[in-house]
Amino acid sequence: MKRTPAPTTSQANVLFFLAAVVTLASSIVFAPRLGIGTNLWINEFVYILLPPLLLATVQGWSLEEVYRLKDTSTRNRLLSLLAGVSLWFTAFYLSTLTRHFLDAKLGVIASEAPAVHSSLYQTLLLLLGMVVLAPICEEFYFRGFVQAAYERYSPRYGFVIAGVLFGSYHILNGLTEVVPASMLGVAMGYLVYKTNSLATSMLFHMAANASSILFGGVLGLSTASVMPSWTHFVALGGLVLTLVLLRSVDGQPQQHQPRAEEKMSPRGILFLVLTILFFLAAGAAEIAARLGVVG
Amino acid sequence: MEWGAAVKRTVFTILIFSLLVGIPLMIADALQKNQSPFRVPERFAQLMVDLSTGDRTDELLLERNLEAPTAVELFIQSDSNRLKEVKLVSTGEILGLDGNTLDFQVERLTDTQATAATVLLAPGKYALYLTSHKQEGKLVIGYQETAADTKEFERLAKIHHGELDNPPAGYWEVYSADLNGLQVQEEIIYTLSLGSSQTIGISVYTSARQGTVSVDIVGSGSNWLGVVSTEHRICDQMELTLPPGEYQIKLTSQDADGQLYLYLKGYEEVR
Repeated sequence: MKRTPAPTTSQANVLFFLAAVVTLASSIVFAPRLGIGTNLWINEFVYILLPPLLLATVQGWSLEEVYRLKDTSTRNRLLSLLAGVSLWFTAFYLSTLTRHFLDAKLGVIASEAPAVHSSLYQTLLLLLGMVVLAPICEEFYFRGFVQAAYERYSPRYGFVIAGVLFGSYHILNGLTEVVPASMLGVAMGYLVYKTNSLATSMLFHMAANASSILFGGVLGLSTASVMPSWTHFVALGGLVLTLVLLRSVDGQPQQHQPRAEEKMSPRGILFLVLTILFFLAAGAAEIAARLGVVG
Repeated sequence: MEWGAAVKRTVFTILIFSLLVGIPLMIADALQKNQSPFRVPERFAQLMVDLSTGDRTDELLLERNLEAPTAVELFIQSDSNRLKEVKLVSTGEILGLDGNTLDFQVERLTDTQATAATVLLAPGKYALYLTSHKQEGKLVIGYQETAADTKEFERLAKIHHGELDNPPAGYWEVYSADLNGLQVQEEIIYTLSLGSSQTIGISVYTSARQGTVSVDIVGSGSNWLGVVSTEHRICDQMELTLPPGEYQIKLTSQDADGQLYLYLKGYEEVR
């Protein structure tokens, strides 16, 4: 394997495609049998965390320098936590709005989800996985590895591309999650871009997922069929507050800048196209299910 | 946790700690999952159906031939949430029921929860049928056949055909009524006053085939509702061990026909 000083878009796109496909296939096999909690842990540890870790080991990359696994100021940590909570409300709003739109235009998914093994242990695994594991593993992958690759390709917009890829990955959770997750992904990418520290996005991600658990159930009930008018204000307020918080973080100078990647390799383009096609197929499958074309 | 310390050390410490917590949870979950959720008593023969193989509509599960009057006990459990219908069909009479069919609607019943019934069947054949959608999970049916005493069967057959004045040995009549024109709602027809814990035998028979009939036993925190009805007309020798207290036997009868008899055993009235 050719050694590179830092991740390339080709490496990022290949691993991204493989992670998406394997995550979906594995979840179809394991979730009903092992439970959604165990399945989440397998996805996060094996398909999300392990590949960039192994690649860094093989390539000899410093996790601190290349993946930005560094500390930041207390102020930045606090701002990241608050931003995660506030932007979650906006994300929830967008997700609910999208769901209402799709339900109205395309119909509700008629087929029942396959029965999944559930138990108290699975619930605990799911909670721990969402609040602790997913933020760490996914930030490692998307902001540490993928964003590092795309910032070499486009220093100015690399974090935006990585954020959109993060959002598109969430199509595996449903069409309603793509736009909200992209928005969260771009915000987390900005935090890492500005502070040069993966700790900020990890904290942001933890706060957002914790908010989902704490507030999601209650808000979900109140917005099940219609959006009360107060939700518009909460969503807008959350977005404005997040922008203020993000603008307030202390920037850190980029200390190590590996040689820029001038253009994406053919293999990188190929796997990016494959990933897009894969996600389009996943979206089409959901649309077909909503229309009742497939059971 | 020192946030001032190296983030890398902190992150990997959290990951390792998570594994130390998560792996035992997964193991505990796997161990719990592997335990069978079914608790069919050993005395029953068992029939297990894998519900994931496909939709079923009145699929024959079991067919048995009865040479003599038989008490058939059924014990049904399932670890699947969706509704299943188990139907018992008999070529001979099912004492106490109209028609030759008994339906069980079964959802998720595991561990100590089950649907159970004992039916007294006349000689002939009986069969069990299943209607269900394709779903993950299993249905288990325990069944046991016990030859019924001929005299007892004849006594109950008479009751089934409307001759209600045929109590079992040791039972005495405490109430009887003609239900034609009787319009009552939870009327107390008998009261048990127990100074100490006692085992009481209760037999209630009705020949009503229309309207609403219900006999309920209520008291001291315990309720037995619908002991008899127009669908299940015979409650024979139900033994209850009751703690001290007062128990009321109540009758509801609306637009019914036929008669109702109530017999007790083991209760000494204070006169």
